[in-house]
Amino acid sequence: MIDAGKKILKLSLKLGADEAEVFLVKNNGTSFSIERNSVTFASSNMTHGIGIRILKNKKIGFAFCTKEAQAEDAIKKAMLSSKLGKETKFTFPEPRKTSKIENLYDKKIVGLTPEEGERFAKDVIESALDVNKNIIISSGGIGYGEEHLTIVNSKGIEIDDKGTEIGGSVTAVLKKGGGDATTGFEVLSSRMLDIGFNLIGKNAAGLAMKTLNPRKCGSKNMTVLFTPYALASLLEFTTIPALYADKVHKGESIYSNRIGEVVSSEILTVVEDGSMPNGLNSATTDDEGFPSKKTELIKKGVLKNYLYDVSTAAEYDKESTGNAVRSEKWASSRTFKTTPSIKSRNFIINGKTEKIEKLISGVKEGILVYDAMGAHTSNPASGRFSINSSILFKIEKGEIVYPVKQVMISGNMGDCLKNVSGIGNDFRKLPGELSPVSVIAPTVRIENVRVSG
Amino acid sequence: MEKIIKKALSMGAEYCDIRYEKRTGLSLEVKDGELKKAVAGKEEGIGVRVLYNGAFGFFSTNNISNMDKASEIAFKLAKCSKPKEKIILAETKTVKDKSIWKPKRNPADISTEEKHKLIMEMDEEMRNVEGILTVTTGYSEGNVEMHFLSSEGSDIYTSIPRIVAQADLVAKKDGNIVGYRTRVGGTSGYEIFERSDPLEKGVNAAKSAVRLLSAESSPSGRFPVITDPDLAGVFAHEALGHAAEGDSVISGKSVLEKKIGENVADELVTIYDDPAIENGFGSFPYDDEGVKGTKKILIEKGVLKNFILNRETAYKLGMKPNGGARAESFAVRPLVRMSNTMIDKGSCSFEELIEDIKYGVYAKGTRGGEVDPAKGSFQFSAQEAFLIEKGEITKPLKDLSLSGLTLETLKNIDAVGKDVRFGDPGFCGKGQLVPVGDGGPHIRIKNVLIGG
Repeated sequence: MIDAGKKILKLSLKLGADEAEVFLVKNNGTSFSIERNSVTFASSNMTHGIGIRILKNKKIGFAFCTKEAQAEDAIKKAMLSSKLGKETKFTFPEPRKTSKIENLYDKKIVGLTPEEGERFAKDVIESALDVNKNIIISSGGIGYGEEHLTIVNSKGIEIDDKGTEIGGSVTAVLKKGGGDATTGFEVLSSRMLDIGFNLIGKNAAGLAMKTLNPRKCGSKNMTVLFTPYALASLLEFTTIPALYADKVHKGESIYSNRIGEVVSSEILTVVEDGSMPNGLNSATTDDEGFPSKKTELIKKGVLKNYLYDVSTAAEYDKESTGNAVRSEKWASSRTFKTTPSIKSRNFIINGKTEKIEKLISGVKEGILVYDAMGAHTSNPASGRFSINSSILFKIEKGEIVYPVKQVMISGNMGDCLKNVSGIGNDFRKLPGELSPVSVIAPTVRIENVRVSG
Repeated sequence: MEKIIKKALSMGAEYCDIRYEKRTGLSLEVKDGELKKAVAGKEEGIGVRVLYNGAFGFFSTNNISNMDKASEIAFKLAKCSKPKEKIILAETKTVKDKSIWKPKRNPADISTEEKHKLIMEMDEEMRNVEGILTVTTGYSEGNVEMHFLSSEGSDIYTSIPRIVAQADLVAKKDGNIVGYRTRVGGTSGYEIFERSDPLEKGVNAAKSAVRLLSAESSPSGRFPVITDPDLAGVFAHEALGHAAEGDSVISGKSVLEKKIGENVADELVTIYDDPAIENGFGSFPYDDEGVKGTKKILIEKGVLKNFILNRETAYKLGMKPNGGARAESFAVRPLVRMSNTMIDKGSCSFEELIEDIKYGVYAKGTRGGEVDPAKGSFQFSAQEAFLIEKGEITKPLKDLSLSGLTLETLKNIDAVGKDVRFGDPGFCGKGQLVPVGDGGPHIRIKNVLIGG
C-alpha cells in the first residue's frame, strides 16, 4: 500500500497541492451476533479507503475515495474545498523516530476460520447457561478483524502499520415469574487472541443473578463506587473531551487555563497513552503519522497537560501529543472518510490504588454502580451529568447488602474527581461507546454524590 | 448482481438479497467564523445476505472487485452460524419499482460557497447574541441510491436525499457553562431551509442557552411534567419505540413481549411510527429488505396494537412484515429500526395542560436519551426546562433529566395537547446509526423522576 500511497501523493503535488498527505486503510472484519441464546447472524466486511488531505496557499482541503483510480477526482475536490478555508499555521508533521509497540498484531486472529468464530460465540452462550439455565443472552456478539494502515505525506512520513483486534460483549437477561427482569452485561476486548470468551457469558449472567429482587434506596447524597464500566462511560462524555486542547483553548472546558492547578483528589493520576502495549487504540503513530506517546494529564491531582493534534498544536505553539484520530461524531470506529481531530486513544486512570474489598469496607452508606445509562447526554463543557443506573448494589457499614432498583445519579464530573476517596485495583480495558476511545480504569470511590431513587 | 444471486442459489441457499448503494455526500463545519472541515466524497458498495438452512450469512465490501467472492463468503458464514430456531422470512409481496425522491432544490445545483455562506451566517448571528462563547455550525447533504435485488424477484431502485443544517453552541458567564444544540433537516433538498429557517432556529437556540446561564438547578424527586413536542417525540422513540422493535421482543428483552391487545398506556395515548411522512428525517419508500415503508400504529388509545417488524421477526411473532428493516449502509445488515415516531394529537391547549399543576416542570427539547427495553427503563436529558408553580411558568431550570419505567410512565400521561409537530431530526444508535424523526404534541405526565 505504501507504493499506492506514494503514487497518490505525487499526483497531489502534480495537480498543484503545496503539501499533501495520503491515508490508506484496508479492513477485514468478521462478527457473529447472538440473540436469545443463539448465534443468529454471521457477517464479514472488507473495506478499502483513501483519505487525501492537501495544503494549498496555507489552506487545508480534504476528500476521500475508495479506489486508487478515483484519487485524481478526490484530489481535485480537496483542492476546491481548500479555497473556502482560512489560512492556517498548519503544516504536515516531519518524520520522527517511532518505536515498535508490543502486542498489537496477532497472526492467530488473522488466521481464524468462521467455524472458530462461531465456537467463540457459542462459548459465550454456554458459559452463561452454566451459571443458570434460565439466563437469556438477549443480545451481543463477538467479532475480530485486522487493519492495514498506510500514512504518507510530502514531508517524508511513510508509515505502514498493521493491527488486529478481537472482542465480545453481551447483555444477559433473567426473568422472574412476575415479568420483572434483571440484566447483566460484560465486555472484553484485546489486540491479541488472549480473551476468555467463557468469561463474557459467565460474568454477564452472574451480574443478572446478583441483581435479583432489588429494593429501593431513596434519595440522598452518598458515597458512590463507580465500577470501571460506569466510570468509563462517564469519563468518555465528560472529563475526556474537556481535556481536548481545541475545546480548552476556546474556553469550552472546565479545565481551561488551569494547568498547574489542583483539579482532582491528590490520590488520582490520569495518563493518556497511545503507545500502550495491547492498547485498544495503540499504534506506532496517530492518524496523521505523529509518533504515539505517553502524556501525563493529571499527576497526583495537579493538571499537567491537554491533548493535541498537529493542527491545534500549531495554532497554540505547542507540540502534538499524538492524539489525531479520524472518526465521525458519535461513532466508535475510525474511518478514512474524515479529517483527523483530537481524540483520546487510551485513557488511563491510575494513582494510589488499593484492594476493592478495602474500598467497600470504608463505606458507611453508598452504592456500587455498574451501568451509566444516558452518560452520552452529559454536558462536556460544564461537566454536568445525570445518569440512570439499574444494575447496582447498596453498601451499608462496609458491606454490600442488597441490589437496588433504578436510581438517577447526578453531579458534576469536575467536582466528582475532587471527591475521589479511593481507587481500586480491578483495572479493566474497555472500548468506547460512541467514540473510538479506550478507557483503562479500576473501580473508583467518590464521596457525596446525589442519588435519587 | 443477478450472478451473485444465481450463484448463492446454486450452492443451495434458500434466499439471497443484495443491496448495491452509491452514496455521495458533502459536509462542512464552521467554528467561530472559520471553516474547520470540508469533506466531499463518494462510496459505492454491496451487501449480500444469504439464507441457508435457516441461518443468515452476510458479506459486504466497498471494493467492487471483491464482488465475485461475495456469495461464497456469505454462504460459508451462513453455513457456520446455526441458530437453534431456523430463520424463516415472513411472506411479502415481490416488488418491482423505482422510487426517486427528487429534491425541489437539488443541493448539487447549489455552489459549495453558498452552503458555506449559510452556516457562516448562522455562526455570525448566533455569536452576536450576548453571552455566547463559541458556535460550531455544520451543513451536510447526502444522497443514497440503492438497488435492491432478491432471489424472490424483487427489483427496487430508490434514491433518497437528506440534508441537515445544525449548530452546537456554548454559552458562558461567571464560570457557568451551558451547551445547546439545534438542527434542521429532512429527506429533502435545499428547499427545507425555506420552511424551517436555520438562522432563526439558531438565534433562538442561542437565546435559550444564554437564559440557561442564570437558570437554577432543577429539583430532584417525583413531579408532574409537561414535555414539549420535541421531548414527547423522544419519549415515544426511546421509551416506547425501542421496546416495540421486533428483535427486542423476540430476544426476550422487551417489556412489551406478549402484551399485544393489552392496555399499556392511558387511553389518551396513540403512538405510531411512519416512514411515509413527507420529508421526515427518518422517511424511506422501501426498507432494506424491499418491504414498503408503511405507517404502523403501535399504541391506539392506550392499547398495544403492533410492533416494528422485519421479515424474520414478523414470522416468529406470527405477524405481518411492516417495513421496519433498516441498515446504516450497505456495509452492515438491516436491523429492526424506527423511522419517524410520533405521539398522536389530543385535545388540550397548552393552558389546559398547565393550569392544574401546583408544582412541576416544563421540559423542552433533548440532549439525547437511552433505554433498557428489558426493564423498560429510560433516561433522557431535557435541553431546557422551566419550573411550574400554581399553573404558571416561573423560572428557568438547568440540567434536567427525566427517568422512569416506560409502562408506568405511559399510564401516567394524563393529558395530551393538540399541537403536533416534528422535533429536531436525530440519529438513533443501535450498533448502527440511522437517521430518525420524532415528534408529537405537548403532553402532561402526572409523575416522573426528575434529577438535576
